[in-house]
Amino acid sequence: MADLTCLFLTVNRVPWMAYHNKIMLEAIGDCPLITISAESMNLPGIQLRQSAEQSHDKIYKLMLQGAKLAATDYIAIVEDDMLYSKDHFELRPPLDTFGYNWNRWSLFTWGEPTFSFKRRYCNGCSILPRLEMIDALEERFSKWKEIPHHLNGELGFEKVERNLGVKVRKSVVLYSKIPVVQIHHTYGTPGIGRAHLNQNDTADLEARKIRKRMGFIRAYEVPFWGKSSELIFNFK
Amino acid sequence: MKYDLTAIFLTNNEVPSEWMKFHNKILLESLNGAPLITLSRKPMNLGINILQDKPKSMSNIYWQLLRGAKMAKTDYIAVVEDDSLYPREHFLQRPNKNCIGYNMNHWSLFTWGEPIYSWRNRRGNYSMLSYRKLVIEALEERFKKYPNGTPDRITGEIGRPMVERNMGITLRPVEEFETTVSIINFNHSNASDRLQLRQRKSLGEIRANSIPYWGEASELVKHFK
Repeated sequence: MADLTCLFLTVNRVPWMAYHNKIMLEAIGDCPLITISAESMNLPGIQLRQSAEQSHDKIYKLMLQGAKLAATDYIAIVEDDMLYSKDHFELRPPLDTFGYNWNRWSLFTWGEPTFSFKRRYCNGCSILPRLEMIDALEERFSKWKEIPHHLNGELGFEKVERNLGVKVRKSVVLYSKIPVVQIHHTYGTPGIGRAHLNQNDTADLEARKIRKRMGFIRAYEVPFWGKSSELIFNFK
Repeated sequence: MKYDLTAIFLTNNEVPSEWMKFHNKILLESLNGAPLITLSRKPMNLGINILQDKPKSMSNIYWQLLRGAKMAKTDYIAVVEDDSLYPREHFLQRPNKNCIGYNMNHWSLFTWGEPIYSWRNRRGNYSMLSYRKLVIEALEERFKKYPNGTPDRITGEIGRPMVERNMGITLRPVEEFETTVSIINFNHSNASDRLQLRQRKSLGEIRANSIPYWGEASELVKHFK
């Protein structure tokens, strides 16, 4: 019996849903699936609804809702702009430690299609022990009715938890054999990205979405997913 | 033009001769006239050339680096290894003077098995570029404590906490930086690393078949001959 539940969060704005869901279902195999979407979806498992409103605060509240509904030891967050392989969902951190798969290539929908890599935690690459996750999120939301965007961030990310004034949880870097691919696009959750903008930074939240910078470690072709210039065409 | 960086090129002259020509051509283009000190086993017509004065060992790598650093006159030095390709941009980096600098944009390419670039979250001596006096200070401390050379099993990069802790010497602060074009480090069976000698080294976790500037792994690896 599977010890991991996939928690799929989507506001149904991305254009490639059919392609994404096909890959997702192949990758998650027999793991239970909980989908929290803005629209009804033809997916197995439990389905819940969310509003179309986008915010980081809401994401973490939905994560808490999903974690409480699940019954497995672990939760894997599944995002609608990320492509996963089976072995991502086979990663397991210890039960008191949040795991983050670092084998993640970013691919932007603007500019030259190039995979890029940053050494960074990403919520969509997390494998989270469910009880620790519930404890951490309940602690956050008992302290903060609504978490400001610039303070929000991944569970177990020390800087975030210090800034929130909550317990710093353990976290660990994991690597899947096949990478996860994350598409960076303009349908995502808006956010200024930091509390204080530089002089030349635009305050337009939509414009800020394409000001994100690629990581410096870059590739045009990676194992399993192939060429960046071809994979990006699926995001339509 | 006044340069503030010297490249310290370490070689045992054991890499294939065609590769050495290819490597040196790329190196000279990337250095763009910056001073070069070559510490080799055989005489070479490349920069200021001096011969290595100790037998091959892990400790010897750092001993030769110390010799080169003392000969240099510039504020900064960059390690150059004979199995690594460097972009020009690498030699333009200037980390904080109080830190040992490492370029973390480095792909490994194995000369055996499937040709594929792989990346590991590790600092490699071949990507070290630092303030010269700090390197001299760190290496002199090592060889003062180990006048007959540091034991191979605990020898490693300056600024790697495990290495410096095991040696019982000062832990040096590190600044990691990344260039937009990568360093390529070839893993081959002439290397100092025992795992490479036996072709037992494992690939890094992040992998790519084709990357900007250097192209496809399957093509680039053909130069190592």
